[in-house]
Amino acid sequence: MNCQDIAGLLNDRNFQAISDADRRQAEVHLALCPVCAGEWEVALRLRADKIPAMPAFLRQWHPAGAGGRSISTARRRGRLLVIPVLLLAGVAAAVLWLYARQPDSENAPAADAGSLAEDAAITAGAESVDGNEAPSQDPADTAVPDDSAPAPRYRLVVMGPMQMIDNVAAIQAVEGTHRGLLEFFRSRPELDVIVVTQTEVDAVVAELGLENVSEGNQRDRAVARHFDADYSVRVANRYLRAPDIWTISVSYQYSNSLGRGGGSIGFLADAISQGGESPDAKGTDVAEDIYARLFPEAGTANLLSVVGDSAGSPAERLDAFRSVLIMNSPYRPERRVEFTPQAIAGAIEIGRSAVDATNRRYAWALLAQTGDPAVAQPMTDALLYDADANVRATAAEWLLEYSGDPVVRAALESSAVTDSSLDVRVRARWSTLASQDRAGYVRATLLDPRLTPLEQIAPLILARSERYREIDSSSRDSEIAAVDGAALDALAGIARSSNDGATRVAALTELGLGGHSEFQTLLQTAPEDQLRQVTVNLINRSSRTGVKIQLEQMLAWLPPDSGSRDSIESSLSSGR
Amino acid sequence: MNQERFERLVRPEMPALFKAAYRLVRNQPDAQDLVQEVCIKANHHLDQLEQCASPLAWLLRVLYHQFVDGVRQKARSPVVTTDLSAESPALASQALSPEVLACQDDEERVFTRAWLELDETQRGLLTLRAEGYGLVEISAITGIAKDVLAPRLHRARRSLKRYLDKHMDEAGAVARLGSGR
Repeated sequence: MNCQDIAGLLNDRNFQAISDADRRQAEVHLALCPVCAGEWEVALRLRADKIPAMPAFLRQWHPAGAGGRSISTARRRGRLLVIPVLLLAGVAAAVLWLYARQPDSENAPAADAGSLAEDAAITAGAESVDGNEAPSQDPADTAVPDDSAPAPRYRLVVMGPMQMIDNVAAIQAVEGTHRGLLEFFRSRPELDVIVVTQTEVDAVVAELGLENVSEGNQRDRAVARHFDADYSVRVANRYLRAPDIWTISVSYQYSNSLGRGGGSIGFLADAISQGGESPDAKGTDVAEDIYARLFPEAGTANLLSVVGDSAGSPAERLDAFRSVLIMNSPYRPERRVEFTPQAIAGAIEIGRSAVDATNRRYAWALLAQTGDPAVAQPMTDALLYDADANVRATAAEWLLEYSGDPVVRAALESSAVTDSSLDVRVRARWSTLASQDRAGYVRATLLDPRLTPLEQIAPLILARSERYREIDSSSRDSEIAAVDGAALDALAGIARSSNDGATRVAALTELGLGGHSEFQTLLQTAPEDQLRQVTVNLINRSSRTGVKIQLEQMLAWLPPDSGSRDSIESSLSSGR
Repeated sequence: MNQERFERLVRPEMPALFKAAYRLVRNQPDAQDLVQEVCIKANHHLDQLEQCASPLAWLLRVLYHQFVDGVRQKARSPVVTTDLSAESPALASQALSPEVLACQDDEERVFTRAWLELDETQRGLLTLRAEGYGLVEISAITGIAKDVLAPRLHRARRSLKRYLDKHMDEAGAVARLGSGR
C-alpha cells in the first residue's frame, strides 16, 4: 500500500468500515510514512469528534415562528425558549432524582429496568447520589471480601448505558457493549468499579447545576468527582447520520496527577453485525483499549510483553509495538514508557527473521523510531544483506536516524554505490547527505549524462515525495526549490525520451513548476492519464509563482470536454 | 400545508444538519443559527425540496454555502464592537467565547483552535467527509469538481495536522511554564 492507496482509503465513502486486511496493509504503510500517519490520525480524530445533541428548543423550532426575522433575533428567541426548557428540565431532573431515591426497584424508570437487570438491582437503592453514603457498587466487588486480592487502587465510574435511539437493535447493542465493558473492568483487581445509571447521572448533573454544560469530558469529570473517582467511562448509542446509521460510542476521561484528558471510541453498528461479534465481546475489546489509555503503565506493560513473546504472530507483536510508540506522545513526556530490552530484542528478531518481507520492513521502521542504540547494527545488516530490495530500501531510509554512527555511515556509503536496486542506492545516498547538500545532489544527478533517464530523475522524485519533505525537520514542509537552468533542460530531454509514465509525469511537473518553454508543447503530446496527473500536481502547487500562468495557458488548448479543463477552471475560479 | 411539508421534508434532517453545522463552527450558538438559516431558506423552497431525491443533500448544500458565504462576508466586513457582551452580528466562530472554551478540555481546546485556523472551504470539506459522505456526494454538495476534491481533502488534513501540532506545542509550552519546568 502506498500514499495514494491511503488517500483512496481516507476518501472512500466506506472508510469507517475498512476491512481488517486493508487496515493491516494501511498500518504497515502508516508506520513508514509520517505524512499519511498524520492524515490518518486527523481522519480518526474527526470521526471520533464529540458532537452535542441538538438543543431541545431547536427540535420544536419552526421558521414560520421566526417570521423571517434576522437570525440573531431567532437566536434570542431561542435563548428565551431555552430558559423555560431548562427550568422544566431541572424540575424533571429533580423529580427523577426523588423517583430514583425510592427504595422500591419496581419504581425504576422503564428504560433502566429494561436495560441491565443486574445494574437495576444494584442501583435500585440509589443512595449514591446524596453524597453522604458510599455510591452503589457492584456486589462482585463488595459481597465477598478476598484478603488475597490486591486492594483497588483506582476508582472508575461506569455510566449509562445512555439510550439516544429508539431502536431495538441499537438498545440491545448499547446494553451488550455496556455489559462487556463491565465484565472487563470488574476483572481488574486494581479497579474499584462504580456503576451509575443514566438516571443517576442526570440527577447528579442537576444537583451540581451542570445542565447547561454540554455532554462531554467536563461534565463526566464532574460526575466522576462526585463519586470521588478520577476515571469515568460512558457508553451510548447515537445516530451518525439520520436515521439509518447509528453508532455505539464509548467515552472516557481521566484526571490524575499525570494529567487530564479524555476521548472516545466509536464503532458502527454494522461493525458488530458484519463482524459476527456480539456487542458484549465488542465491549470487552473496547474496554481493553480504554484501559490501556487510562492506565498507560499497566497497558503498555501488557503490550510490551506481547512484543517480547516469540510465540506470537509477528504482525500482532508489531502492532503492539506500534501502540506503545503512539502512546509515547512527545506532548506528554511525563507519561513516556521506555521500551524494555526484551521488547526491542523481540522486534529486532522479527526484522531479522520474519518470513514476510512486509513484517521485516515494518519492524525496522518502528525500531528506528525508538532511537535505541541496539537497533543500529542489526538494521545495518538488513541494509547490506537482506534479500528483499524493499527491506533494504526501508533500512536505508530509516538508518538516517543513526547516520552519525561511523559504522552505519560506511554501510550507507557502500550501499549507495553497490546495491543492485536503484531505490536502495538513492535512499542510502540521501541518508548520508546533510539537508543543505541534497539540492546539489538532485541537480548533479540530473546533469549526469552517463545515467539513464530514470536514474537521473530518481533523487528528484524522492525529494518531492511526502516522506522526505517531512523528514527534513529543520525545514519542515519546505521543498527543494524548483530546478532551473541546465537541470530544467535536462528534464525536458527526459520528458521527450522516457517511455516510463511516472518518470514523464515527474519531469513534466517540474517543467510546469519551472515555467520551461517546452512545457506546454510536451504536455500536449502526453497521454490522457499523464496529462491528468500533471494537471493535478500543478493545481496542488498553484500558489507557487508562475504556476497559475501555466494553468491558464493550458486552457488555450485543452478540449472543451476535458476533465483537466474542468479541474483547472474550478481551481482558478475558487482562487486557490 | 407548508407546516406539514416542513415536518415531513426538513424536520427529520435537522439533527444531521445540526451535527454538520456544529462541526463547521464548533460552538452551539453559531450552529443553531446556521441550522435556523437553512430551515428558513428551506421553508421558502419547499416546492423545490419536494422534487429532490435527497432532501438532506439539498439542505447540506444550502448549509455549506451559507457557512462559506457567512465566513467570507465576515472577513470582508469591518467589525466594530463597542460592547463586548453584545451578540456578534455574524458568525462568531472565528473567536470562541471564554464560556465555550471553558467547557472544553485541553485536547478539545487545542483541536478547536487548530480547526478554526483552516479556511472555510477546508472546514466544509472535512466536515462532509467526517459525516461520511463520499467524493461524489461532496462534489454535488459543494460544487467543487470531483477530481480536485481528493487533493484538497489531502491538503486540508495536512493543514489540520500542522495546526494541531503547532497548538499542541504551544499547549505543552504553557504547561511546562505553569509547572515551573
